[in-house]
Amino acid sequence: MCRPGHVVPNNTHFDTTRANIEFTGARAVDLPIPEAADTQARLDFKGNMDVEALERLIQETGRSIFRWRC
Amino acid sequence: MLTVTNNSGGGQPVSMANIEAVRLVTFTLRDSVLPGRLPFRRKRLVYPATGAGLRELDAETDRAENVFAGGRLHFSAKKDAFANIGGFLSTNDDRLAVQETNLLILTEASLLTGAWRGETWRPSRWDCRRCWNRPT
Repeated sequence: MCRPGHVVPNNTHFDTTRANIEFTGARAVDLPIPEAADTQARLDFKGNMDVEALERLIQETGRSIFRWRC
Repeated sequence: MLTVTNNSGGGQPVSMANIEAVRLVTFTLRDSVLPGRLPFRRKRLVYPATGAGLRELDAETDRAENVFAGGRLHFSAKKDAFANIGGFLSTNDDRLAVQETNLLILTEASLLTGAWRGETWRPSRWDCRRCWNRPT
């Protein structure tokens, strides 16, 4: 479904998910919240996606964002 | 794409509020930045990101459905009490459901590990409700 040039955002891609995306030539982008990089931080929802970063990515990449065909 | 508690992220959980916020961003920006038709009812975009937790969603099943109204849900359930199967794929796109069902790689391991089941949205939604409504 992905093609070269596509951008696929995620909070954190599972390794095989990333491999399958990149195999198609698309770019897998991880967008975890900044606190996720702190291995000592304890948060209830440390897996959250950085919503502001997602918004920026969509605005920057526009049509390159991968979309499911509905 | 949003991965809820995956191993590569240390199994860190994602809040329902974050799921909803991501959905709101993707759908509202898709309307303005990404040309293309909006396949879901527009009125469902107006839900505020209230920080609703699992219990609140449990009380508002219709709202819980909206969390996954993005169209696809890929659920790996290999080692938990909810569903000891390979997992399930959920989609509200009948054409895609057929394609998923016909992909042998998704079903061929069923004898050993359970199958990835290409499902339409409605039967899988029942599974989600059962999970959300379980006693704590």
